[in-house]
Amino acid sequence: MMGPFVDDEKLLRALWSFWIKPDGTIKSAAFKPRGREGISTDRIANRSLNEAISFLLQRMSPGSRAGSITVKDCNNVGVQIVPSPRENINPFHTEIYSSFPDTPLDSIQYKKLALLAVVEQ
Amino acid sequence: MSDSSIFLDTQPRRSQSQRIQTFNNIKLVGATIFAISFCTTSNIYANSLISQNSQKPAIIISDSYGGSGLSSLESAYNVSTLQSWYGCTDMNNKNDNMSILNSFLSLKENWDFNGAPPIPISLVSRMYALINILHHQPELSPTARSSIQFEYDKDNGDYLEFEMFESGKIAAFFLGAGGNSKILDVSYDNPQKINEVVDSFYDGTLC
Repeated sequence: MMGPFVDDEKLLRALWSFWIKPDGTIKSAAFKPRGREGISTDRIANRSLNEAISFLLQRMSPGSRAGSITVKDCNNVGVQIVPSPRENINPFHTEIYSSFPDTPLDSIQYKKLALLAVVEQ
Repeated sequence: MSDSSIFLDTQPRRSQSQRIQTFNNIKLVGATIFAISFCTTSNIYANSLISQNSQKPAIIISDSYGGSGLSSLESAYNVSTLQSWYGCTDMNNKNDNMSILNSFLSLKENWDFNGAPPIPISLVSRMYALINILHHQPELSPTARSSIQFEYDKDNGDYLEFEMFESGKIAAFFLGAGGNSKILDVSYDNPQKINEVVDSFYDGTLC
């Protein structure tokens, strides 16, 4: 059982190379999900940052990187953070949704998330 | 193309390798490079060359007109006149963007390891045409929802984004450094409108 989200907890997002700018900042494209599902992230929960990054990246293609955004920053953008564990695969899986049911985030919210996120590794 | 062209480097923060690539691209289009930097000396030299050659004396490679030395050249030849002669063409970024678009075609199903579908060929084809006419080259990226994103950033923090979908929809917005934002109405039907929006982003009149 994982505890509630706290402000400084980080949510990790896998980043593909085209989503990272030469200056190391992250493009909003990194946060746009495939369809109506939420933005897929891994919460760190009770792990170290390095452990959590390793767990995330082992499921991704070689060369993928990990970005993070804090729970507080997500709240400031006005999005919802929803635990979404994948049984036997990823108990840390967490999705970011719009605050409005059945409504995707708007373009500006994606950009704000990208501005607040950082590349960890 | 004039055989006595001048390259005005208005992006002094570019790396040496980026500049070399740009110079090589200029050579590819048949221009001779006489002046390559914005130090005072080369400005004077550039001005003297411009005054000796009244036809198409310069190529402007830039997506920003903030270069500190540009004002003296503007006094000799209006930038918009130079633009009309050559177009404001960033050959370096245009070539890069064509390559980047090509690379999108190699993205297979699940390319993000999270179920992303491939980028549609028809969308990439459309983007080739659009890239070709843009005055200012954007940063490109694919998204997991089968769209292609064009982004523009200014040093002051202003941001402009177009997200292009295969359906023909374009989601575009401006986000100012101060947090002000504006949703923009653009479409494939009028690609020059995209140029106008980007031009106004750079000259500061968009918002």
